[in-house]
Amino acid sequence: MPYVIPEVVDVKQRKTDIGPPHYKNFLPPVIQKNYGDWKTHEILSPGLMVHIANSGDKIWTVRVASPRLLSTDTLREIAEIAEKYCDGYLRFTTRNNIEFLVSDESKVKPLMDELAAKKYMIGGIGSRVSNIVHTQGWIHCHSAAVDASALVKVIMDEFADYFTTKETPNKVRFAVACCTNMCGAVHCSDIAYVGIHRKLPRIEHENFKNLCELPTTMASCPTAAITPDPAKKSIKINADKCMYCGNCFSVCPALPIADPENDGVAIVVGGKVGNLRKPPMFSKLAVAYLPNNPPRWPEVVKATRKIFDAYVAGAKKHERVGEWIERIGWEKFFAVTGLPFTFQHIDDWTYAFKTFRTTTQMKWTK
Amino acid sequence: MEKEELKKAIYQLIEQSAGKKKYKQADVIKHFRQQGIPDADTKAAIRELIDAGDLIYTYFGGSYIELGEKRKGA
Amino acid sequence: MTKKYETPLLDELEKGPFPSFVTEMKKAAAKNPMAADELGLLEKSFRDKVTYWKHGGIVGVRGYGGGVIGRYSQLADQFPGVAHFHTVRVNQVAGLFYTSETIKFLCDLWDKYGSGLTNFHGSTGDIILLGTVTENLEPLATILSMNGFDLGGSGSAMRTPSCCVGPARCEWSMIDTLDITYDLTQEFQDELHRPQFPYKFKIKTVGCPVDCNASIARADLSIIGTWKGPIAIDQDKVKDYAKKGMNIQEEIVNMCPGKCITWDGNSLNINNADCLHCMHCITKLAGALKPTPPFGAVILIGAKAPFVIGATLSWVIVPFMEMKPPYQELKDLIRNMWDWWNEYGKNRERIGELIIRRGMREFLEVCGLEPTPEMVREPRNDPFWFWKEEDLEKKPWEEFLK
Ligand code: HEM
Ligand code: HEM
Ligand code: HEM
Ligand code: HEM
Ligand code: HEM
Ligand code: SF4
Ligand code: SF4
Ligand code: SF4
Ligand code: SF4
Repeated sequence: MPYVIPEVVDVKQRKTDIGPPHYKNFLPPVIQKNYGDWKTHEILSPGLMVHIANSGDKIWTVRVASPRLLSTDTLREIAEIAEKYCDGYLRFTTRNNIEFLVSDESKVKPLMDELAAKKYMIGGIGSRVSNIVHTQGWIHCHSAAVDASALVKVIMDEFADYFTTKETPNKVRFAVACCTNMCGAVHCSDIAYVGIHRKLPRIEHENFKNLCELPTTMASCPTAAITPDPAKKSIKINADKCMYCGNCFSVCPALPIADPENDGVAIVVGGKVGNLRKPPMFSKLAVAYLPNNPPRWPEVVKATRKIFDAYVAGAKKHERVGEWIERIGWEKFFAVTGLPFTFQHIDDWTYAFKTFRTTTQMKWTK
Repeated sequence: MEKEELKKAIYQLIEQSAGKKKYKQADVIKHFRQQGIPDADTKAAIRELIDAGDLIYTYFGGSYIELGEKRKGA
Repeated sequence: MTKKYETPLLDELEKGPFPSFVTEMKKAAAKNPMAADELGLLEKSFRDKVTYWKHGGIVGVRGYGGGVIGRYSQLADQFPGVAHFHTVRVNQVAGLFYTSETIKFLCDLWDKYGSGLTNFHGSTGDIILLGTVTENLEPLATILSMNGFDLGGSGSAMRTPSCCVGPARCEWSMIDTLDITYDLTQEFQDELHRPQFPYKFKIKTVGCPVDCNASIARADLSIIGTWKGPIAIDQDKVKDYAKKGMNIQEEIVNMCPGKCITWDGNSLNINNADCLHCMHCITKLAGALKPTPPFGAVILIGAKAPFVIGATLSWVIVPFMEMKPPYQELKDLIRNMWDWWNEYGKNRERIGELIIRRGMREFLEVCGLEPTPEMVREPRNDPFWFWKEEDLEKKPWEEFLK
């Protein structure tokens, strides 16, 4: 398909509602031929797998990490590598990895050699750490309590060898959400980071009048902490009810909640999305707060190390983090990781009682 | 109601409520349903107003329909 | 030459083995003044530990209500290049397959009309082009459309549907995830581009219960492939796994949630009537076990992030639906639920929240669905339930006690 970028653009030529191009135009011939007719696959090394069709045809996939934020320079480089070894065919994964789709076995090794020489991080397939799904952070979101790309970078640097070589008992899925909107699947990841606020939104009474609607703002609050302040033509926030979720700020810019000294990162653990063995699970709170300490957030990295190493040491093969914790019990989890259990860990929301222990069954950890 | 007449009525509704109440597309449809206008007609009329740029969709914690001139001013 | 900022904090993030987003920003900054100011602005955020983006402004392309998100810096005086830094969402190719030619086209286009920074991809699935100015939007959308591309969704609209790699390269896919995604995207172009709902609506399709696109956690409508036939077993291949050192008893039998597998050291036996269709044995014994038809999908509804009613996972509304083009049953179901949601939903109320507010019964009736035990983990455990007049006339016991 020849692409055109005319010098002069007649915007009246724009066609609407055409939708995306058909995917068939982008599938390598061997995939077109064997579409829906695959027999099996083998993981040959942490960054290489081969899929084998019932016809006997094969396609090799080489996976490398990307930071998701890509410059056009890097994209062009990736495109050229794909041209050299893959007849131009490549794809991306949900977790922002790049996959080179090789139809000719003899090109696999030269491709991997060139990628290694160019310092691409090859790996992420099988029972190990894959790339991190994450949100936008300070790069472009105004409600971010923490940067996302930087957390991804420091965590992936720390656990790089679990992407490129070492195995974990089962996949370990990290996720980062820079605020409690959690645009990603943070609430269902093995280990996840959530940007949090810890103080009430500040009310800019003057701006409120101009920028915000009273009913919408009140309705946005999940705890009904917001009530009208007729004297000021503005609102009041009940400090006992506010959970710092920032939802009100989302509908009313006169309620800024960002705070450099008090914002930070919570770590939640034990979620998963797949249905394998156990049904999908929510993540649960492991560390209620760590400070924002850019550029490399050392406290967050160290706390993650504790959880990660305890999991690798304690889990049975194929257990995800959440399955491991469920088997050993939360009291053991806090004991083996050495993380403190605090008031914040005990739910105080509407259905809190569902999380209380209504049995005498427990393990002694000290 | 004729289509052009309906378009005018929709535009006026949005114009008169500007700064007071924000309408979502479904609110506009419900408004005219009460006057006996079929939902599909209202929807088609809104589409023409949007395509012409007289009205636009805006986003402010949810999507609404507002006057097209707002975009030029922004 | 573009403006160069000192970035001592960000420079720290160029160290280490993982590819650096800072390096990417610097590459773009060397050529593009918008990207240069974006880098300077980010360094300032790192220094001050707060974000400097503000909301607002109304931008878009004619006729559409989404696909472009207005973004403005709070510090436009200091960093004029990011005074406007709008985001463009481009509807991705289903399955995220590309050719090098396509990538290069998008690069040429974005170097001409934007900052040179991109996301492959956003978590909704779109190609994200980060940072352009209002004047460039119409030409950009025009050139995209001349070349067969269209914008993605944003705001209170159907969002760009997405899927797992599916039958294109996965032996486990029991439905054609790419085709379903492409077909629904085309069918609902109006709902994608013109935000007419109470809030966003995401559709994600995956080929099997492994759920590689996290559809159960991230989509209002989750379509998850499954099977009804027995699991086919290649006993020789199972023995190969055992020979290669797999402890079948520990790793497969004991971990089966249906407790329906036995292994006598020689042959593997599955009591399919008790299988929960979880995929554990099939993925761990890749190539040896295989699901068999009938194939179809479980349809689930309601996943969303924590706000307002808390995080939810999607829950089952149709235990098994056949998935054959043109997917009419699915499309009718989607249209029915949208009509109901448009009628009763409040601004920013996701469909799952509306169902919880008004009850599953009303939702199921609107969709023409009968209640079945597959929809619940367990029946209710409180003694307070409702009866409608019409229920009082029914005498089901005369049937089930016969
Ligand atoms: C507060 C207002 C927010 C606005 C106006 C906003 C706006 C946007 C926009 C315009 C995009 C399009 C893609 C891009 O530019 O990269 C986007 C993407 C994204 N945003 Fe936000 N965002 C907001 C909040 C958040 C929050 C709070 C999070 C997470 C906690 C978040 C996570 C993401 C993610 C993961 C993407 C990736 C692309 C996608 O999902 O489509 N955003 N956001
Ligand atoms: C003129 C005003 C505004 C515009 C044009 C605008 C635009 C947008 C857009 C286009 C998105 C992405 C929607 C999506 O695709 O998910 C978004 C998301 C968001 N906006 Fe705004 N926004 C405005 C005002 C605000 C304000 C004032 C806030 C709060 C400070 C806010 C908070 C959010 C949040 C939290 C999200 C992400 C989560 C969500 O979609 O609920 N918006 N905004
Ligand atoms: C050995 C065979 C497997 C292969 C070839 C495979 C392949 C894939 C691929 C290609 C993806 C998309 C990757 C990406 O977006 O980065 C993926 C994602 C995923 N896989 Fe697998 N997978 C395998 C086994 C499993 C198993 C056994 C599990 C669960 C125990 C699993 C759970 C997931 C999940 C949950 C995702 C979604 C990504 C996420 O976590 O958000 N996969 N897998
Ligand atoms: C990944 C981490 C999180 C998960 C998995 C999660 C999950 C949930 C769940 C399941 C609920 C519903 C609880 C219920 O049924 O009553 C909920 C509610 C809520 N969460 Fe979270 N949460 C997370 C993090 C947070 C954080 C960090 C905050 C704020 C700092 C937060 C604020 C809230 C609020 C305000 C509600 C109440 C909303 C409502 O039910 O009206 N969540 N969350
Ligand atoms: C699934 C539904 C129900 C559950 C789980 C339930 C559970 C219980 C339990 C645990 C007790 C205490 C038993 C004891 O002290 O030995 C109880 C007592 C009682 N239940 Fe229920 N019940 C249910 C439905 C009902 C219904 C539908 C009614 C009436 C229409 C009812 C009326 C009573 C009464 C009158 C008592 C005795 C109260 C007392 O001794 O103070 N229950 N129920
Ligand atoms: S931050 Fe959340 S809990 Fe606090 S007032 Fe705003 S909406 Fe309510
Ligand atoms: S009696 Fe107590 S210790 Fe013994 S098996 Fe039962 S629960 Fe366990
Ligand atoms: S969800 Fe199932 S079918 Fe789709 S890629 Fe993952 S394993 Fe394959
Ligand atoms: S799919 Fe899951 S439940 Fe079914 S036999 Fe395999 S392991 Fe057991």
